[in-house]
Amino acid sequence: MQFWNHIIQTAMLGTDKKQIAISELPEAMANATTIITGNTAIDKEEQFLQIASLAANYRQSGAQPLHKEGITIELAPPEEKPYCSNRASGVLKDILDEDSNPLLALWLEHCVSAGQLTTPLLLPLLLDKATQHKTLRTNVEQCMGKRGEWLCGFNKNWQFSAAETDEERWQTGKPDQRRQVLQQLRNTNPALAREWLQQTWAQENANSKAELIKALEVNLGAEDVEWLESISTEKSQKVKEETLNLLRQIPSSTIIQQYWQIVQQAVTLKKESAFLGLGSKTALSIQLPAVVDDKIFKTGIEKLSNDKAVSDEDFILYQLISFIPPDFWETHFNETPTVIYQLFSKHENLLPALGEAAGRFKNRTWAPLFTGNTGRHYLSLLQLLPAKVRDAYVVKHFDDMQEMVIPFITQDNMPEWSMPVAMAAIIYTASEPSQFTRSFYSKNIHLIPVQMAAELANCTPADPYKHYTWRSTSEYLLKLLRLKERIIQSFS
Amino acid sequence: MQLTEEQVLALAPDDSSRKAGRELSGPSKWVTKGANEQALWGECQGSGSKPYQTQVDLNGMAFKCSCPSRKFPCKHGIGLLILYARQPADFTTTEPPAWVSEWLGKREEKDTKKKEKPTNEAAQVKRQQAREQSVEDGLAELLLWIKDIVRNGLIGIPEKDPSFFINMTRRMVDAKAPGLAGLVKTASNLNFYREGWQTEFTDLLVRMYLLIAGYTNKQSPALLEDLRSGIGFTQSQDELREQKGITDIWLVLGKQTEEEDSLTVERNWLYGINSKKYALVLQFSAMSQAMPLNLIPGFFLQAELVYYPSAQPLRALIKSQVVAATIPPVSGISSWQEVAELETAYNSVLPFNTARPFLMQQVRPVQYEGSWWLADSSNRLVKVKESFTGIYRLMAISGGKPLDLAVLGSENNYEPLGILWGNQYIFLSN
Repeated sequence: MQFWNHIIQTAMLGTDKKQIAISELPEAMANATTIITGNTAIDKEEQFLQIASLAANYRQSGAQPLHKEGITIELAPPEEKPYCSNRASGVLKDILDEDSNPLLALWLEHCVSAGQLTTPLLLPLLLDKATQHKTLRTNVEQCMGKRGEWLCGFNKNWQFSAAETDEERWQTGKPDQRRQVLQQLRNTNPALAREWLQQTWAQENANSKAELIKALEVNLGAEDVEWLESISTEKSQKVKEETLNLLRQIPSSTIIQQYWQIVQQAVTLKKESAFLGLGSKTALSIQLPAVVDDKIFKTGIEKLSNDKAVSDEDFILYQLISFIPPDFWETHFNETPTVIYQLFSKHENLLPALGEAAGRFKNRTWAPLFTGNTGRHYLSLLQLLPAKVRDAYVVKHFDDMQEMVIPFITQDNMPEWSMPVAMAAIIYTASEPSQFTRSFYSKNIHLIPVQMAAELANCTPADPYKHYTWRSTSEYLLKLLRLKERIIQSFS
Repeated sequence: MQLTEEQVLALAPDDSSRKAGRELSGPSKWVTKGANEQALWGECQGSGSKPYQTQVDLNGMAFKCSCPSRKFPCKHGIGLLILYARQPADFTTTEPPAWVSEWLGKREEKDTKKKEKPTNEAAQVKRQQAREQSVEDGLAELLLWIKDIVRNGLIGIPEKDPSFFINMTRRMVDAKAPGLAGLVKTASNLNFYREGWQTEFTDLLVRMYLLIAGYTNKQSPALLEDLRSGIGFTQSQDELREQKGITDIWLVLGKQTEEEDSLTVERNWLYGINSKKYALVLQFSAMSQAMPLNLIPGFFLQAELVYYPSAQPLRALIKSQVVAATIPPVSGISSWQEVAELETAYNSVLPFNTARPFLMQQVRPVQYEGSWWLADSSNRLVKVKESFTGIYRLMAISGGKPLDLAVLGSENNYEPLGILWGNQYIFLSN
């Protein structure tokens, strides 16, 4: 369209500086242009406007589609899995409109379990979501089918699925991604994850060392001791602390063995005569050795008690016992956990240290021993209890431990709450409307059983001032529960 | 009635109404509900003791509710309609209750009154003459303004003080030529940093000049109507309603809404299944009032449309409409060459570059030189407008295969409006 460029050039410069020449226009316009330029009744500006009008119409009328052979795109391959039902698709649309990621994650889980695919229409929205929220990616990839894979090829933002291996992400990813990769690998292949970190250790700076080493907490074991001890003399205080923290979770580490040396000298069994000298009974004799190796105070053990009622010796002993794996006691005393627990229960000030140790070393045999009415609750032990025992314990002591229970029951990878736990949790959260707003329920909707929909009225707070807020929140919660119910129904 | 949930949601004035409407779409929310061919009604238990009475006139898709909401339609109207779209069988077909029949009766009465409104013809002629004089004076001033630009060149336009355009816009409003005022305003709002603004600006100057010259030279009656409409003369809708229109089943291809000052302008693109004619139904609303008709993309309407007089009629008004009971097969145009020929025919009688809709059969999206194009079966390509954001929805549905697609545009630059997918129409809203 050279002629139109001439028109634009003339328009840009103005008719005072440039006139359009007939030779600059298509032949088809020549006659008309001659008539226009020959019309002396109008000035050169109007002549230009008439020629430009003519040229614009000529341009519009002559617009032809581009003819190009061989411009094509590869067809999306046929799907190997069936699409989800219209009903499931409708729920997905509502979830995307509601912008609820937990429900979306739940929908995707159901779709993956059913071996089905999302309908093509919603793929772009779903892929956008997966771009923003990494946790959804794996399931989105499984539900998007061949059409989704094909579609991702046209949008570089969606190419998160494009075969970037864990190793590539480890080597070239952002700090956050690298730690995530390492953590994931620790779940499946702890030795390899440690090896990767060992390979790059010398090149990492102190901050990244301190961050990355935290990933080793997953599946931490005796195999990690050698390397962790070799780096425990790192210059950076942060790295040292993190390393120490890990070593103090491994029974075979030198540090734990060092503690044990002291503790087994301090805590011994003794025979005592029973009531009126009839027979004898076994009891614990507890006395910190007169000389304690000073090295332990460089490993995080505090020397001085910060409580007047607790002596410095007791305080040191308490700390040390909390780092002794409970099964050490079983071998040492050749007694069952129950017997050892009873022996320690005579020493109320030290018993909690044993509870902390059971939690630290994830000892499932010892955990149930601490569920009695001791007045003290151990968060770290809750996850070691069998589900039924744990739920009964949580419900029974909910009022005493509200503040620690909510973070516990809402932590990652928690299964859906049982109805008694859900009732207790909702009754409590409903009574604290300023702390537990809509976003709390939205974030945790995957944990709340759909049967709670029928119970919301029974969770109304006693305080009449809180009724209005609860009514609005419970309506919102009810809507989310209905959506959740629809997800379950549409895949059943 | 064919009504999908998506279509109903498209009626909601905003996102919060959409969400709230969906929440009210459960059967348990409605104390009573009923329907007949003409209307839909229900009573929704709200926070008050008395349930809200919600009613929908299906023929005009008009809403009324006793709730205090200022939104239109309100969440109850949306909720009721979603429920109907999902479970029409739940609505008992009965005689409407008094509060519904009363409202329907009033609507009919209003329509009749509108038709019977007396007019003072002499005063009208006088007003008309005064306006034409005022417009002619305005046109003369605008021509001088345009010539001034042409003489000095467009090169200095981006640096012009805003008053350069504002004063001329106001002058055109005073001269009762709002169409021309709009063109001056559009010229001032062009993005002068974007490549190609020179062509856009020249096209606008040409358009203004053609309106001035054509109107001054008193063109043929049909073209004169286009010129008058372009300048901003209004056409009496009552007169149009007197005329016989084209009765057909019309598919609503798309809807575009624009805010102009405090006025909302809605452009609805329709396609006559049997007549194969396209139509543009414009609606206006001031201060967020409801539009007279709720036209939903993907709806098939059994309607009589009257075209505004034009050398190439496109704009039309809906004289009467009901939702179509049956949908005949839909066919469109199969090649871009045919579209080019149609456009040439339009441009030869109406020399204004106007975007027009076309329903294309079996076109496929392709990529060429870093842009998206639409290819027909003979490998003719037109470009997809760069502003179009629904390309991945289009691709996801197509899978690379050809599909039937409604587009809007001109000169080889088109924006997809929606996909005809089996008996379903998927609106690709931007």
